[in-house]
Amino acid sequence: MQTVSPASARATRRPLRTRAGVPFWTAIGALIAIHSIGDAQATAQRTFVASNGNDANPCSVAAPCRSFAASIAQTNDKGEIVVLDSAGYGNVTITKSVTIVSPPGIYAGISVFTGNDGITVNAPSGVIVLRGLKINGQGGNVGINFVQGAELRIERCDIAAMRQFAINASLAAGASIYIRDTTISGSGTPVGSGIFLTGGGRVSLERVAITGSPSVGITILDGPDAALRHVAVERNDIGILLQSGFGSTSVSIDESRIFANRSDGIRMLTGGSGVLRAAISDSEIVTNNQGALAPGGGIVVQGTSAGTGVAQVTLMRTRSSYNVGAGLLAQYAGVAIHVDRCVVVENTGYGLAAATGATVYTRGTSTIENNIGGNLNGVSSYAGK
Amino acid sequence: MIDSARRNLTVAALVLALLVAAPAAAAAQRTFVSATGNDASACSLGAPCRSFLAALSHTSSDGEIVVLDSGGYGSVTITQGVTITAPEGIYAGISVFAGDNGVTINAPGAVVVLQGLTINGQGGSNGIYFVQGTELRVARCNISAMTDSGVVAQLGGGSILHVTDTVSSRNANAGIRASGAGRISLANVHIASNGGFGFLVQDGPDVAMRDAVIEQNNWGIGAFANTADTLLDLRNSRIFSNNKHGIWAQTTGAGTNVVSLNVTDSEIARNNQSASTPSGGIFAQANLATSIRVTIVRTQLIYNRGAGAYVELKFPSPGAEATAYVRQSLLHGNTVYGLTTVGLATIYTTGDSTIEDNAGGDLNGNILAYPGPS
Amino acid sequence: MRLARRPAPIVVAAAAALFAVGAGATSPRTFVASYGNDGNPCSRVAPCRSFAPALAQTADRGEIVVLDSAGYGGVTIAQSVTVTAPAGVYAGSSTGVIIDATGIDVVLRGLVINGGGFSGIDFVRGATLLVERCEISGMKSLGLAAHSADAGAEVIVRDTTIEGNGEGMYANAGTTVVFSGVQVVRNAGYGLLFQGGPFYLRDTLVAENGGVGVSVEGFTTANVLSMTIDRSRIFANHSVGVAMRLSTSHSLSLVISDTDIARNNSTLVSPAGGVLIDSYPFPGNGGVVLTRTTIDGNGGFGVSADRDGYPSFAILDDCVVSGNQDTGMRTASGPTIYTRNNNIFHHNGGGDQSGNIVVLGAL
Repeated sequence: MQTVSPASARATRRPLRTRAGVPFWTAIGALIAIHSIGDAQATAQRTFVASNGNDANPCSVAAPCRSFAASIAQTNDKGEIVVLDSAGYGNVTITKSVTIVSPPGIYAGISVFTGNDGITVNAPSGVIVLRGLKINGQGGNVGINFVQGAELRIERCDIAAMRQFAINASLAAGASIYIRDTTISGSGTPVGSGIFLTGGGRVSLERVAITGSPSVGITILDGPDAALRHVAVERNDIGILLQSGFGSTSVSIDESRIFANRSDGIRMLTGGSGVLRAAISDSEIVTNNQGALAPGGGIVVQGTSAGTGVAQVTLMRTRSSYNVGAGLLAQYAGVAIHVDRCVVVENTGYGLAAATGATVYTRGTSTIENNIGGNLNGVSSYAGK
Repeated sequence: MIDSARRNLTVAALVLALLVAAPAAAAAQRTFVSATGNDASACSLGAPCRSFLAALSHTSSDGEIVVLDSGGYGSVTITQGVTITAPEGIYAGISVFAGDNGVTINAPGAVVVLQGLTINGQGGSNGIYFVQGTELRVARCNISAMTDSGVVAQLGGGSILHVTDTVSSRNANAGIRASGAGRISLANVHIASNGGFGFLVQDGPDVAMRDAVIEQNNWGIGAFANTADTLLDLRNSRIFSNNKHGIWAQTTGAGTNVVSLNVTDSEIARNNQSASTPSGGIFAQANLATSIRVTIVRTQLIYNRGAGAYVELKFPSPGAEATAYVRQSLLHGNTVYGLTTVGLATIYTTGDSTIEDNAGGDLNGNILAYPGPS
Repeated sequence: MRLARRPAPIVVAAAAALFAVGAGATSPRTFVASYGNDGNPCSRVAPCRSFAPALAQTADRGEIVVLDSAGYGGVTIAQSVTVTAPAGVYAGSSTGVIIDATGIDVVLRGLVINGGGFSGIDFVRGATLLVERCEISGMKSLGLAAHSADAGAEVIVRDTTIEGNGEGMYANAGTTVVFSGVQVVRNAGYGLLFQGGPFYLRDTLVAENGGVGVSVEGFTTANVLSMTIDRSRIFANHSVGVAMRLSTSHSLSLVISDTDIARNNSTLVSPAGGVLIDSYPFPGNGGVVLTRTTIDGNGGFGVSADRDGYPSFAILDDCVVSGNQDTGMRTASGPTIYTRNNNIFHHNGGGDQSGNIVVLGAL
């Protein structure tokens, strides 16, 4: 572009032209028109992002885009977005079925700044799969926010330092969320959680590690059917909180470790019209309640003093030991717990304790020894079948 | 001047013709595909091809096709022994369009290995279709959204299907289905959200599976024997949140076929989300002269909408039976019975299971103490 | 404006020195790549094209790193070295690897050895061998021959598949073998043959081999009291699933836990089936403990302890023995089978139990 002095510019203003002599704005207009036509028509079943991509590209493997937001606009419903190399690819809101995949060996990052969420899923009847993403809080609120959708799968992801929740899901009946091979660290303000799940849908966690939540590692509230397996929950405040004030919540915790949390390892609360069922098997709940809250311990299950709420819990081949407080504490009527083949040793309070109307049964197959407050308190027995 | 130029051009044209006409059939024991490849190339490391189809035609029998970088490589029919392998970190995609299958294996006597493929349905029928062959080994694959099934295997005469570290999800029919007299080994498979069975075996396969996760399908596992025996050993697996039965084992037909089902160290939970009746975490039904035998050891049957385990013997002929053996297991929180029998079925327990909190009652029907030997 | 460029002589000399292919100059880390050249120094910027020249340039206890996907040829290793192809790189070797020098430690990661020669990995001499994330197939003889002449050799195999070879793997007496996540499938002869060294198999699949699945032979010079098969599947081998052959002077003891032993012995080798403890040709010494294991649907017996074996034994603890073609558990001519009285037997063709069966109390 030629430089023109202000005076002469007013006098001799000429339209801008490209080198080829095409009027500049016509050229730009043409480019925009081409790009817009591309947006409307040329969506693909598979699009690509790369560190050297450009969001004006068609997001193909030869001409990848630079951000998830740009590529998702170019992706078919039920298509895939593939990350080609290591870089940051930005926040995104998802409103259709899509898979975003970053293969092992490639770092696909999303930094989340104040006031934002990392990935928002708001896709009625959408099926969304997220693989291999790293979401890092830089003041942002929620790592992955599942507002609406049929199914969300989170695999091989890593979410850190979110202010409110690493993963927040409100599940309609029939909706499901599946999280596996994922690590969550340092997320959740005093009112948040690492993972927060509520609603009438289905939840599955497998090989998930949750550490360093200042509040609760995992909260499951009012309604989900939840299965947790190979979950490690450590150094949070409360490790796992299961709560049912209305509706039916059933949770299985299998081959998991819940340890070194500041408060209870597992706290279960039932009340109102809630029915809370939990089956804990082949798991280890140790060295919890290091902040010495009372009542507290490895596993604490509480109804209400009015006797509302039902909790039915089984512990099988599980070790609840070295906790500050009880290995297992059950309080209030409506709470019934069966203990089979467990090891409950060296807790500072009781090994197993049933208080204020709760019932705890053992089959006589467990090792319950050396608990400083006493091995059994108010415990009954039951027979195998 | 013009003559020599013309001669040069002719020579050049000849040379060019020779180059272009270089025999495409020069087969190599190892060929390569790349997103920057070209199907007119020799599919070598220096000149890779762009599609599996082209690479296969350049690969000698029992050779290998290696994927060099991330991209889509198209569907392919395999009629020889071959390994197609995409190393970890490389996304090797096959989009499957209407009327097609992702990978079809029709290779009598041959061994085919598929590693690291992502097969995504875009109207296509099956992800992997094993029509014929000695063995098909599937490792680290991810198959989804097919209008029929993720993996279909017609096993005859001892064919082997071997699947590890693989996901098969959101297919309209089965995640994996197989029939015929062969062997199946599954390890670390994740089968989810399929419209039919997660895993279906019929009439002949022997199956050894462990570390399987089978969830949110219409039925979890189906094991049927209407024309030949079926054996299924299941260990360290989880079958949960399926719309109907967790495991449906059934025999019928004119013969004396047997389904043998051994479930060990597993969890079968919250199945029958549709609340159909009757149902169970394990639903076993033998008809006529056929039999079902089930062992349930150190297994959790919990939160199913129906029975934990339901065993039925229907219209029995002499010699038919439906029998289950339960040991050191947990049956808790099922909405109907913990254990139940219907008809002349029997469930034996060894007196060391925890069977509590089942809404309809813990035990119902012909539940007996296991008489030994032990 | 063009700048005159005259490289400093010292820089040129230094560069020349770096690129000189000195005969004795080995490097602690060498590289191979598809674009490499065997005349190169096998450096990161000038890699070689195949393993053998790279090894010649690698210092003792050094590493050969595979940079990208290609075939890199066979190699004979006579020094300690690691050959490693990272995840994401396919490193092929048609003819395989020979390891042949006393006292060396060799690590092989991520190699695909496919059908050229006699043995895939031939461990002739050496102290330790670690095989990780490899695939060995189509060899005429053994996938992995662990017959090191070194006393106390050790072979560790992880996340590896040994398939479709003449036989799967052989280990001689005195070699310790450790498996994790290994598949030994469809070899024409036996799957695994251990000639008496200790072995620890975990998360292993031995399936569809033409001969015996796991064969343990006691022709050894020492007692071997630690052999384990844990969380594994011994499935559909055409001969016996697990066969222990004892010898007169020495004790062998094998513990099988949390394992499925199913559908073996379709060829109905006799006496045999799922698990066989056999003393041949001499009276034997030792036995097998089976715990939390399922032995079902095998041709012949489920568990058989046979011949003039004394005091050979089997102990069954918390097992399921069902659907075997002949008797579930059975002894003949001398051995004893002990039961902890906590098993389930059903639907075995020749009856559930026969022979010298003794109930064993807990302690």
